[in-house]
Amino acid sequence: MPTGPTGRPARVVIGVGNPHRRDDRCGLDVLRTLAGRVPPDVALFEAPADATALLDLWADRELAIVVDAVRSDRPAGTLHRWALGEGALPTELGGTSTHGLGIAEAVGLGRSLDRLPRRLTVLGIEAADLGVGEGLTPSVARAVVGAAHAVLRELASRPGREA
Amino acid sequence: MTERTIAVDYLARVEGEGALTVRIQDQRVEDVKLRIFEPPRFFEAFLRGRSYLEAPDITARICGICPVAYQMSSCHAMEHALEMRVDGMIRELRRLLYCGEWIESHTLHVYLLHLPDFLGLPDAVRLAKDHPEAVRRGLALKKAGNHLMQVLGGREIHPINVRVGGFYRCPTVDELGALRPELETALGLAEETVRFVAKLPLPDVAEDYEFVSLRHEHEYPLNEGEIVSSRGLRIPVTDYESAFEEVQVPHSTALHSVRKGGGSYLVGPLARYALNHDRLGPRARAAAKEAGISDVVRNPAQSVVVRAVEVVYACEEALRILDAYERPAEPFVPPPETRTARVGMAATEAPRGTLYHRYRLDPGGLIAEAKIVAPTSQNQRRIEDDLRHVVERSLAMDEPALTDACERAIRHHDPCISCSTHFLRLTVERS
Repeated sequence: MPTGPTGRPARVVIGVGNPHRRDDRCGLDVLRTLAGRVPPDVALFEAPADATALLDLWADRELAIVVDAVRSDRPAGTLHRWALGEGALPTELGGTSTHGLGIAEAVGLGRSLDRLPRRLTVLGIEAADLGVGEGLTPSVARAVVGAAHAVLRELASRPGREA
Repeated sequence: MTERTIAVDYLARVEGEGALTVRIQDQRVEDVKLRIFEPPRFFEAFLRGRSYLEAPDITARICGICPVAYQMSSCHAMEHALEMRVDGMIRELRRLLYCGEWIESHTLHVYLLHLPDFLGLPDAVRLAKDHPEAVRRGLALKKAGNHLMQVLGGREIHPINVRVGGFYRCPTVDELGALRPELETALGLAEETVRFVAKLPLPDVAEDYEFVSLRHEHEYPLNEGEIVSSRGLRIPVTDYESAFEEVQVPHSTALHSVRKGGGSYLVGPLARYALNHDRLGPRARAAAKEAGISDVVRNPAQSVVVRAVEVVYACEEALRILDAYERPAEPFVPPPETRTARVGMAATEAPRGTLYHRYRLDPGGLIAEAKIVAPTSQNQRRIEDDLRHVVERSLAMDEPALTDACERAIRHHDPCISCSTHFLRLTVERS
């Protein structure tokens, strides 16, 4: 795993999911696709959609990108994106929660406790099957490649000056 | 004739998805059903045909909050099947890893899931706005547990360092020693937590529970012990299925576990504490005494105090293990070759209670059958009993208040519904 020169890498990509729940693992597969292809100041982490774990992973970072499986009414494989500063996190990106504390709660807690990264992007891949088992739905497997490219584009983009 | 139905379609701040329906007829509670939708039982089928060595890593994925419990019960069950004995420092390291999970899981529940109920707040995000210092304390305490998991489990979440026979790699004395300052701080924070929750305005109720937990000769139970109950049951874990049975109910995809020939029972912190308070360490005992709780706590709301006491214990036990640690020569006991069919079973104390695993292995060491009885499926019927009493006491309440009371009653037991099988919906039918 690449690390920055000062110990804690300034940027982090967090993949969320369960490898034994079919399409739920797509966030983890995006991390695997990215391994060895990200700049040295970027760390890759696997995490459950648990608010406190996310707070620990993204606090004090320059940038955090969270990739997770989502369920809405869109076709399987659809890529959803939300960034901090774009208003409320859309419901479908809130995360399938662990103990009721998912990505949405992590953003809320982070705001109250001053534990948000400077920039935060949430990428969601529309899942079709979250049942017990292994192997992705073909359209979700294709979306993993697209999501990995989307992460690389986010990492390459220059942040705008913030007030 | 008047009939009321109270329905919670989505229960907040519990793990998983489920729903609750309460039917009230002529001011009498006719029926209480805690419905669980998600079928975890597929994991048992999913394990068939996999190597016995894979069970710890596969079952760990049943729960994001208590993966260590699944790893421990599966390892011990496989070791039982293979007639292996794992002791010394490897055994101590397993207790240490379990302490990390108890700290993490209990602290999450005490601060972010349970606390809002006693402060009249809707959720953890609002709690963090109104009581940021408490939430910061909780997060710092939880982090000490996370760090234990990281050093010993290979990473904070879903540890990958656990295997049948022990660990893939044991930490060095220096690696574990580096955790000491944080754990000492955590012990203080845990004691502060007990004082904090002991002052909460808790409802004064008492339930007549049959408590069930492991009990060990010398230790507060984590990995080993006999199964005991507050009504005189005392059996080896291998006899678990002679005393408890799982029954199917149409309204839930989780099986209900009951005492054979009897009814509901309760596993978890209240049970462990009632049956093992004499095995707590001195700091935890002192914290319980200062909090003013009795040796047997029958008030489900007071479980918040008992969980906090167990966190004190987990911190002091972790420090004890750290101080005596010597790195074992080998990180694991090598399993013998498998040539015959075998059966193994084990129970360990997950944060939410006793977690039983049984596996049948074929001669090649592949899993032919798996049975996993999670704490929440054991508590499900007992939670329904609690709910019936809550509704009986609260018949005069309007729907929103009654619904709230029901959700709180469920959260007292920190159910991990996705372990037992995802979240709750409440329907109250009144007639």
